[in-house]
Amino acid sequence: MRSSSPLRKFASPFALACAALLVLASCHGSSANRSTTSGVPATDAKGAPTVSLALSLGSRQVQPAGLPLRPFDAATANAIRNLVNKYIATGIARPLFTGSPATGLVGFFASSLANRVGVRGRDRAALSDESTPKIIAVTKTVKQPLNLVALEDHGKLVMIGAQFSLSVTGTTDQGPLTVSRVGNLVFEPNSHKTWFISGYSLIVRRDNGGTTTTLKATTTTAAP
Amino acid sequence: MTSSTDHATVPRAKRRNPKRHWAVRVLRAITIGTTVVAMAFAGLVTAWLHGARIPLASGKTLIKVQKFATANFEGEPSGTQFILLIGSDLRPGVGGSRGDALHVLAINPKLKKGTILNIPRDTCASIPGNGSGKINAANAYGGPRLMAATINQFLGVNIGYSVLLDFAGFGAVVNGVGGVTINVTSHMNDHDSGAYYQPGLYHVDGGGALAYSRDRHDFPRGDITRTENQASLILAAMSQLRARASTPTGAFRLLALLGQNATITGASLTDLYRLGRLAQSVNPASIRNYTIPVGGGMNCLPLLSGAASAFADFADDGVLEAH
Repeated sequence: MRSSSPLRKFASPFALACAALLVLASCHGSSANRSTTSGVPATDAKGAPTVSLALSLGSRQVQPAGLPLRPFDAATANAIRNLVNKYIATGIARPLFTGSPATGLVGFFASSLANRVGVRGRDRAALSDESTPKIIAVTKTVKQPLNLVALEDHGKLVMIGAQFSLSVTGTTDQGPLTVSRVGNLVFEPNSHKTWFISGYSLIVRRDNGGTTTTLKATTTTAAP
Repeated sequence: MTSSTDHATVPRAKRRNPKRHWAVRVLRAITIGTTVVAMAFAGLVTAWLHGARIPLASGKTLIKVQKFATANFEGEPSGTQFILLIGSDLRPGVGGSRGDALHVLAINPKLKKGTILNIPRDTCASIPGNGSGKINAANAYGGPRLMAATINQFLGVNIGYSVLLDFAGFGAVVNGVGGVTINVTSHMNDHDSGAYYQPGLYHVDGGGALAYSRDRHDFPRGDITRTENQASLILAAMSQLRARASTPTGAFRLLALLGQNATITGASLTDLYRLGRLAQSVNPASIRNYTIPVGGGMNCLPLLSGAASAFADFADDGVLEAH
């Protein structure tokens, strides 16, 4: 039978607190890593690659502008991830893998950006891969989980930012192709608490093995 | 009967050795104290991991950001924006709340140019509802709203935002952006402001920046040179902000700092984010530092010839093309 000395009795809360600290400390730095896949491509019945370009969630951070503090809830983070993945599926995967237009792309963006993102919008070519040769076989994808940061105004998440990094390498009828996008996305909710992409700063590089083109799209500058 | 059972019913603690009892109490106090400190630290670590920051100077600084109904945009700002920057002389032990530093920052996102127009505090002006006098008195009479109305009338512009800072607020903002780099062009040795600099480049914190921006005794043109130095400091801070707010993480961190330390009226943090993004579209190196031409005077400083045309040049698109 163990003795319950005063030292053992009263030291246990301290040990618990230290353990909690260690656990907390170990949590820091658990930011998600890039995931890279490469290998034999899978295709659907129509011959289009079925590789998923969907991103997973990475870290979540809150910048509070005042009390009360509210944690970055999982539901909101998932809503942002789903929005980004719908954008990727519509604006990147569909044109890139099927050659179809990015119909409905505007719907993922705030209405104030419609003239930039629309079919004739100045940022369309950077945000979508409509004008890119169709990839018939994916050989490599490099995906960085979405690291999110939220601006919180007295307990309410008013804006969210995400680091974005996605690269797809494959072969087209014209040869090899790599499309890489890096940058940031900003999200805001509308009056119905539905989140939209309200800002972006993206750089897209398209490398066909001989020529590299770079496009930049940013909402830093005012709309024309 | 009871006496025979006394020994058995005495609480255990009372039967302990007094020395051992004393040791246990000390041990308990130390352990509880350590645990409380550890748990508080754990709470801070948790807050830090979630990006929370402890307000640095909330309630001790005066930073007021106000958006006026006359702001000529809804949602995404796209046209030229005029922002009034007011440095108040309000500080502990010294009364008054005059606008001792007055600057109008104009940002033209289409031309990617701007102007910071400096107005010496003693400039003669008509203050709506208060006759004529030194322009800085408008802030004491009616706060930023009257100050903005006075400037609108004086320059012929449409001020959309005002930012009022006191000395502590100014220091907090400079510290919040990680300090600023100043270019001291002449010897400064002023006891009143605490500015002691040889010519050269310095990276200063809030206190150092405040001293630099307050010195007027070391210059032949006194307050005129001081107001130009203040504008240089603002442009340096904008450069620093531009570098730090290039990502959402950086921008949100600064907005959170502002939210913790400022009183914001009529604007949301989202408004300020958009305004900041707009300001970011212009390189501070493309923003002209211009002080309005004033002469000498006993009560206030009158405008010199050429001021009217400069104001018109400034008001049309925020850029001084002919001055």
